Amino acid sequence: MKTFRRISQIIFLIFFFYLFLRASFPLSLKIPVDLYSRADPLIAISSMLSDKVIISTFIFSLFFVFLTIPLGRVFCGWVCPLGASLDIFSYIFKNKAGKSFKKLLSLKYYILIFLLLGAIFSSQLIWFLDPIALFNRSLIVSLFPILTGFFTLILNLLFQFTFLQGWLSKLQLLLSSTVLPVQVNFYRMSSLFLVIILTIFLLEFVSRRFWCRNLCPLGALYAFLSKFQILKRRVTENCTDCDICKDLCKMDAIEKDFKKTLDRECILCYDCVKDCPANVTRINFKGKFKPQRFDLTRRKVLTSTALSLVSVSLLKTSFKDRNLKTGLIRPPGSRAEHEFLDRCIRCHECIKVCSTSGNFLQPAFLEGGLEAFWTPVGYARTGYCEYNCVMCTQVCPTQAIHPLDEATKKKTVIGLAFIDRSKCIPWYKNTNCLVCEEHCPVPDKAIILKEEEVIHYDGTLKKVKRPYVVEDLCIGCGICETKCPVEGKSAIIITPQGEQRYKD
Amino acid sequence: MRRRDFIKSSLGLGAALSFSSFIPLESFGEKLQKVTTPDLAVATGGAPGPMVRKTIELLGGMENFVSTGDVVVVKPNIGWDRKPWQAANTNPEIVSEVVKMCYEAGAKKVKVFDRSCNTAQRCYESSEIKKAATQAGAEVSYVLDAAFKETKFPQGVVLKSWPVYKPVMECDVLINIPIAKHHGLSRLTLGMKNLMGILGGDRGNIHQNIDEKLADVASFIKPKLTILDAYRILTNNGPTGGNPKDVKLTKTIIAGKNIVSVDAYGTTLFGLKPADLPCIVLGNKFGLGEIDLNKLVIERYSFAS
Repeated sequence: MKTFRRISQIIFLIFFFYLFLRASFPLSLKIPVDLYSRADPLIAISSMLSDKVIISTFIFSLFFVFLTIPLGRVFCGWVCPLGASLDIFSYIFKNKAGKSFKKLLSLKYYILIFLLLGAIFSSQLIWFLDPIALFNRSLIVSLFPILTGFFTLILNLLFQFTFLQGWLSKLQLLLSSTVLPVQVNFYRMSSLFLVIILTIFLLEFVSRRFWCRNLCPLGALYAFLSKFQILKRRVTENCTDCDICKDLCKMDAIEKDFKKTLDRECILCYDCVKDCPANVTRINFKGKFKPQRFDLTRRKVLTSTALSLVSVSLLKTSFKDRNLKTGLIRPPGSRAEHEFLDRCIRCHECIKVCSTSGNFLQPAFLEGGLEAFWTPVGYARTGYCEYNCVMCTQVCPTQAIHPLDEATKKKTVIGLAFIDRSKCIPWYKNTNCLVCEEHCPVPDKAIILKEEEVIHYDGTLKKVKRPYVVEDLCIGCGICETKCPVEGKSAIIITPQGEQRYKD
Repeated sequence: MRRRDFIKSSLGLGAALSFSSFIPLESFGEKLQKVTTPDLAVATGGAPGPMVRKTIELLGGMENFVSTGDVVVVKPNIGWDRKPWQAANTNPEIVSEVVKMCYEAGAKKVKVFDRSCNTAQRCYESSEIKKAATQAGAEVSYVLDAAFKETKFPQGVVLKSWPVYKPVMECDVLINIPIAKHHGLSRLTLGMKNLMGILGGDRGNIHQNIDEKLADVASFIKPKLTILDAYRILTNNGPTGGNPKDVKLTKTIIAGKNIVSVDAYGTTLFGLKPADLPCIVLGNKFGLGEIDLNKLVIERYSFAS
C-alpha cells in the first residue's frame, strides 16, 4: 500500500504540473486548469461563506469531502501536491521525522477557526494559508519564472552560434507554451513569494511535514471532516514496543503507547504498516468505532476568535472605493470590488495565463491596502490586456472574475487612458510620435490625431500631429501605456475611470 | 584607283560608323532587356498564391533572386493579433507560396519571422502565417531579444546605427513581404515601414522623425525582392485595423527589386501619389529608387480575364 500511495502522489503531482503548464495561451484544454482549487473544500467554504453565495464551480470539492468522511486524511497523504513535494524534498535530503511537539499539532485548528470566522465576517483570509492557493502562487510567481529564466539564459547563450540557430528555433517553438516562453515575463514580488515557499520547505529540516502537522488549515479541515473515520491504524497484541513506528511517523500521529494513534493526524501513508518489524500494524476497517476527539481548549478557541475579529476589523478600516481612489485596474469581467475581494483567493491562475498573453496582470502590493494584497491588478507599464484575449476570465475557481466571451470582453471597459501633456512628445516638444495611436486595438481607434500648427519655443512654426483620447471608445486596455517611448512614468496612463464590473 | 577606292570606302565606313551612334541600336537592345525584366510586376484579380507566382515569373523567375544553397529570410508582416481577413498581417497564402518558390529555386533554408507588436504567439497563430509557412517547409521562429546586434548605417543621416536582427544580417537573400495599410503617422505602411520588424531596441523612439529614419534603414537593409501584399488593404484605422469596413479587397500584388519603387506604386492603391509619402520622397532623394511611375517599366497581368 505504501507503494500505491507513492504512485498516487506522483500521479497527482504530475497532473498538477500538467494543468499548471497548460494554463497558458491558447488555453485549449477541456479540463479546467484550476481544477485543484475547485476541488479544495476549504477554498469552497471560505469563498461561499464570505460572499454568501453558492458557487457552482466548487462541485468538485464534494468528491474529497465524501472521500474523507470514512477514510480520513487520504487527501493529505495521497493527493496533495504540496505534501507530495515536501515528501520528495525530504526523500532527497533524507530528513527524519524530527522532534515531537504534540502541543503544536493543535495550532492548525486554531488557524482554521481564525480563517473561517474571518470568512463569516466577509474578510476572506483563507488565501494566505490554503496550501493549494499557496503552492500555486509560489510556482507561478517565483519557482517557475526561475526555471524559465534559466532556460532562456541557456537559449540566448547558445543562439550566438549560427549553426545551432535552426535547432534552437524549433525547440523554442515547441516549448514556447511551457518552459521557454517567447517573452521574458516579469512578476512583481518574486522574491517575497520565494522566501515564503522556501521557508515551508526548509521547515522540513525541523520536522517532517512541519507545515502539514502544525499549520495547514486544509489539513485541519480534513481532520474535522474525519471525525467519523472508519479506516484507521490498528495494532494487534504482539507489539514489541520497539519504537520504530513512532520514530518513523511523519505526522507525529503515534502516541507514547504505540498502539494508540491520533487518527486525526494520520494521513494514511502506510509507512508504519510497511516498516513494522513485528508486522503487527494494520490500517483497516476492523475494530471498535470511536468518533475522534479534538484537543482544543476553550481559552485558545476564544483567542482565535478574538484575533480573527481584530484582523477582520483591521482589514475593514478602509475607505470607500479604495480601488478607484488608488487607481487599481481589475481584469475584465471582475465583480464589484467588495465581491471581488470576498472571492479572490489569490491563486494567481489569472496572472499565470495572462503572462502568456499580454502580461498585464500582476499581484498587487499595498497600493490598494492590505485587503487587496496580492489580488490581480493591471500593471500597464510592462504589459497590457490583449484585445482578443479572455483567458483570465476562464480560469478563476471562485469566479471573482466571471467568464466572458470575446465579443463581450471587447466592449468591457476596464479603465480610461489619460495623456500627460507635460510628458507627451507631440505636446511638450512639438515632435511627431504617435506610438499610442498606432497600437490602439479598438477598430475606430480610441486615440485620434489632430494636426495642429504650433509656434515652437524657438519661434518657428511647426505642424505636429497631437493625440487625443476618445473617451467613448477607450476600453482601458493599456497598450498605449506599455508602448509609450517616454522614460519613467508613461505619458499616457490608465486609471479605472468608467470601469464596468460584472453583475449577475 | 585601288587607293582612292580604299580611302573612299574607309571614309564611307568611318562616316557610317560615326552615324551609327545616331541609330537607336542601343535603346533597341535596352528595350529588349526591359521587356524581359521589368522594374515592377503587378498582378490583379486572382487568388493570392497564383498572383504572387505570376509576379515573380514576370520578374524573371525566383532564380533571379535565389541561388542554389542560399539561406533565405522571408520577412512578412506578423505584427498584430489579427486574422487574415482583417488585413493587418501579410496574407498567409502569399508567404506560403513565396517559401515554396524559394525552395523550388534551390534554397537551402527559408526562415520566416517578424518582431511582433502584440504578443508573438498570438500574432503567429491568428495571422495563420506560422501554420502556412511551416507547411510550406519554412523554419518559422520567434524573434529572440538576445540575437540583435548594434549595426552601423554608413549612409544614415539621422539614424546612424541601430540593433538589427543577426539572422537577417547573416542570410544570403532577404525577401520583404509587407501588407499595404493606412498608418496614422507615416500615412501608409508599405515596404520601407515593414523593415522595422527586424529592428531591435525600443522602436518607439524611431517614430520621431520616422520618415528620415525609414530612409536611413532602407539605405542599409536592401532586400533583394519586395512583394507588396495588396490582396486586401486597410484603408483606415491602420496599422491595427479590426473594423471590416476598413478592409478593401483589391486583389493586387506588386513585386519589384527596388523597395522604394514598389512603395511608390503602392500609394496609388489608396488614391495617393508617391510624392505624398515623405519617406518615399526621401528614399528617392538618397538615390534608393525611382519613384516616377512614368519612368518605371511595369509589367501587368490580370487574372480576371
